[in-house]
Amino acid sequence: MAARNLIFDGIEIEVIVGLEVHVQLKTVTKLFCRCLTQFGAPPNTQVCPVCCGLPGALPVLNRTAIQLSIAAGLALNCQINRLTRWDRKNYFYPDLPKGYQTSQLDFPLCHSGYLDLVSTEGQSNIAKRIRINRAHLEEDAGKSLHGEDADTGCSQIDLNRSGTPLLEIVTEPDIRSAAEAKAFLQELRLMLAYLDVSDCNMQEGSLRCDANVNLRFQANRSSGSTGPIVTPIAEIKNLNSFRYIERAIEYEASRQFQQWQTDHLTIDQAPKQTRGWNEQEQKTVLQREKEASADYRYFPCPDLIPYRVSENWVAEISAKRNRLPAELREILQLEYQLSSYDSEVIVNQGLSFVQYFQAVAGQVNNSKLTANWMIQEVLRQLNEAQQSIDQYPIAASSLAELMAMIVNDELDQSRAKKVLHQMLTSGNTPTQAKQVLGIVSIDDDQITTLARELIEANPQVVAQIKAGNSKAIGALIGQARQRNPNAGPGKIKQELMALIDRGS
Amino acid sequence: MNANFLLAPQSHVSVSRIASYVIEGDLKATEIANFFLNRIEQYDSDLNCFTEVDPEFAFQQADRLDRRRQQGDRLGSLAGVPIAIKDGICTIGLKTTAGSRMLENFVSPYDATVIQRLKNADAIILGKTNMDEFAMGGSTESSAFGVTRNPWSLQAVPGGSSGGSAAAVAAWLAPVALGSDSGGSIRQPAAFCGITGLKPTYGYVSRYGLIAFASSLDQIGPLTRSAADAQQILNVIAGHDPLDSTSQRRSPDAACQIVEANSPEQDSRIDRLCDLQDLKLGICRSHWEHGLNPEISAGLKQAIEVLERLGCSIVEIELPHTQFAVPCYYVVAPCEASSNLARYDGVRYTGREPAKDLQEMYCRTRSERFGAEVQRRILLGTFALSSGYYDAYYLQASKVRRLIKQDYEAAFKLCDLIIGPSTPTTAFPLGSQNQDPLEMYLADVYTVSANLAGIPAISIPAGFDKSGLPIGMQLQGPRFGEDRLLHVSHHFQEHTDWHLQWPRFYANNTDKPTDAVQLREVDDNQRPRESEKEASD
Amino acid sequence: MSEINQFDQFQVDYVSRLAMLQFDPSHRGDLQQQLSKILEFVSQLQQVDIPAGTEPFYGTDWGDRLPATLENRVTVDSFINAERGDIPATSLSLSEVLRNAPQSDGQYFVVPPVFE
Repeated sequence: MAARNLIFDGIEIEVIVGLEVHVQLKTVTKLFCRCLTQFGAPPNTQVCPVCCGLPGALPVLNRTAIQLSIAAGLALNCQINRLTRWDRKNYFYPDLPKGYQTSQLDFPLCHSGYLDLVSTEGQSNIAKRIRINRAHLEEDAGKSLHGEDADTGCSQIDLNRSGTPLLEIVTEPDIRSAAEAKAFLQELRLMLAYLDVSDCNMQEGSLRCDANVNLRFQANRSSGSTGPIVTPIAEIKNLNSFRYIERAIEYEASRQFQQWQTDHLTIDQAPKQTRGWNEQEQKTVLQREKEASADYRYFPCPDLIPYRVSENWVAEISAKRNRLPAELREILQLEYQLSSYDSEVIVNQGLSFVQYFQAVAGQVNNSKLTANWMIQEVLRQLNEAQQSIDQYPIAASSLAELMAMIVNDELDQSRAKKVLHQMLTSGNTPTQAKQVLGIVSIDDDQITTLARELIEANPQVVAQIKAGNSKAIGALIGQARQRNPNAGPGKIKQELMALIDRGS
Repeated sequence: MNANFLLAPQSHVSVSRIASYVIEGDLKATEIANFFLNRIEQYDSDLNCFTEVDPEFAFQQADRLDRRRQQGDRLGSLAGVPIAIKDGICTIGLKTTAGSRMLENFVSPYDATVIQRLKNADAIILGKTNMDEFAMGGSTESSAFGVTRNPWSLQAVPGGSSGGSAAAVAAWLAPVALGSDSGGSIRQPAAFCGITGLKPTYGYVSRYGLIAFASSLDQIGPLTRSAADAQQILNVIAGHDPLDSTSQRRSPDAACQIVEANSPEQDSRIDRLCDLQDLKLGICRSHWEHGLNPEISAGLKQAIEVLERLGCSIVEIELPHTQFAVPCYYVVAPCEASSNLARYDGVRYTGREPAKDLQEMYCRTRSERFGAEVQRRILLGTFALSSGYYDAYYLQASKVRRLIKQDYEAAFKLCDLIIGPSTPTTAFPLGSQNQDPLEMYLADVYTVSANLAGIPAISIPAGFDKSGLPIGMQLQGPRFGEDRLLHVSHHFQEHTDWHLQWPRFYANNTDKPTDAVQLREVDDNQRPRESEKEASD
Repeated sequence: MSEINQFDQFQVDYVSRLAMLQFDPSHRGDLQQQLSKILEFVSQLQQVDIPAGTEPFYGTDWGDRLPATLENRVTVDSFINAERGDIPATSLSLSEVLRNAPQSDGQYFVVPPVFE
């Protein structure tokens, strides 16, 4: 993630990226009316006079949307405006029913925050702070399906999404590479999911991203310019997957450099462009130059009154909020002694996964073992079943029991895996699963007896061991498992060595 | 008894009386509805007050009410009272056009809050009345559905934008009507048609379901033949509505109550306004000077003398920034309108002009279906909000608006109400103001300030000019001062008979009016005071 | 100041485009004149001396209060946020949504092709 500047034609290029992220808030109803916000409903079935923009209909604010925005704003270290106002952003589009979007221009709910990114490279952690300019609340538009009718080229309009609450998070241009942009978005998405503020599902469009990209570099002396060159900004729209975002920024950086090589136009000499990412052709495409259409004629919405946010409420939201990913990574490292990699992997799976881990590790005296099992076995099973941890059939207490068996050397890892698999398919407890698999615990006396028998039956092997060939004990352990598959290899080895050392 | 008592020249049958007859079973709601439906049938072809009347629709509501009464249901305070609704207010079951071709076939799937409240009070929705397109105008001539004529002179405009409502009440085609007032659209047509029109405090009556012209100025209110009737309607329609974020939380029970001497329950509400002693009426000298028709000026002076005899005193006040009220209004209102009318785009419920692509569809639909005045105001508002001009126009106007509001706040420290003309002229001839929009705007000079400041104001009849056209007197009060306005208006109407005059033509009736009062004794506490008794005393 | 009090042809075109209105060329001159006249009239607002610290008034105030004389009759707080809980209500039926549409396919509103 560390920003390494690109080199084009021997010139070191700094990529400057600012992101505008639209996040659909996880409310039951829309921002200004009481229609449901469910994704995937049949077209135009979650529509009322307000979100259809019928004449005479008026908006009434959903308090929960404000609450979720404040929670997100606090997690982004933002200032919360105690007084906000609603403004109308006027433009025509068929899926914008009122001909304006209700948004917050002058008094965004949240402003002046930051999000810290930490990544591990080799031994060292690299920290990067991305400043947040603002996070304001606004209503989503409906959906246009263009050219669905091949004969007429007509577009279809579905207003189910119209009026869904969106939090628009705008960063400062602090991002310096495509990888950093992706890292920011991943961390943001994880954080919002931890706060239960948004589903952040990019396929369903509940997290959408626009990127403002331009370049800064020192031109060659031959170009005749002094001082750094700053290229015109392009706003890239329609970035609805992390992969697109990375590729679009990378593409855009090289395109802007090539463009500059041809026309030598800098930021003051050319208008801001709006470009779209075309996944098929793997390139950004010019949509329009910003001009008259961008005269949005903002003014305070006369159908809504200013909103007052009380100090008490902010404090209450702050006190009640869930732990953030960064906080949990630290807890896993400090309290559970996990490596930064392990804690990263666990935290990245989401809050339920972390809670599951904590429940298991709390009962087992080996967090590292628990982490390994969750990262390797549990995650693999979840991926295979395409399940989330909430749907995982094995209770944390059962997994803890299994981990304890490993710790107590009642099971070796490979047989423990078999037990886990049996548990998964049957719903059995570890003890039940062991019975089904014919695994029984044997006591220390049985181990001692078995060891004696083996020593007596294999004098040559014992002699080799005594002569210093410690590896030879493997043959005895192998025989032990043949005689009694429940004999733990650790324990039998320990017992054999003790008898040989002590003995004859 | 039969419904013909409703026609009593030189008298007025109040809304409370109609409702009490229905509640007591003296008259059926269907008889009352039929009486007004017949008058509409008889007279509205000349007047064109209504854009839609569905006799079946009205009759069914009345019939349901009669059945409910038979079953012993308790009926509401407006039981069986037919009411005409300005066509900018959404109604299920009747088209809602806002006077525009844009909405010529629009049927709202929901009722405005005021309609819901009227229905809950058992009023009968009689029909929809004509208006200036999207309430932009002062003559009802900009309606896409023909002009409405003034019952006092068929050659004169009824005023606007609630011209259909005002003319319908003046011609007694409906006992009461709802209008909306963004810059005088209730008070000016009330003045032109010789009736009572109240614009309530901004936020007192829900705007949910009122087709927005200028959201921060629009307010629904009653057009009636008396202040007492206005109060009855206001009591039903006013009050907080959770569907309107600008609606104020003030319970309708605490609302204006006209104090009537005989009612014991009202003793508790009697305040210092019980009579008009000590009431200070403010006069703003500058509002009586330039442009005011001398006949109006003379008429109002007589009216003020009446109020002085009743105990009011006169104080001079100043409203220095109201000289900028009209330009302020003609920035604020078009700005809001330009945004409010963006939804008429040919996509979801409007008419649509054929086009090959979206851009053309937008432009053709909006250019061909909006009238000229609406388009002018959209352009003006779009300009005043556009990049580079916002501060000079919209922001500046909003600051001037603050100064106007502060002028009123200062004035109401010196006086209880402000008294003055409603309009600079009486009803003007049809077609006379079509040429120059600016001249039309200047006709709003006395009314727009109340909308800008958000205060209540009422226009009541105060005489006639030489050609027999009504003169309106305006009272403005502080926020939520409806009680004062109506109280003073009521006292004034108890001592004058301007509001009892009928346009002669519409008073003609072959059936002899029956004196309903003789028929049956009603408990005095329930019975509102009878205007005709007053008049004949 | 005088230059912004006149509507020139360019402004008429620009504003018409923003407002999605179009005008017959023969009519544009009249329109420009009318608008200029109105604009000149409303421009007198710029002469108003606005005291420093004057907040614009947009119709509903932050903390708007009732007149003192009426305040004692009002039991409810005079400024309360206008908001509601996150509780769903029934939406319109599909047929109600599409009933007034100039063109629909029974599921969607249909509009002519969008050319950007």
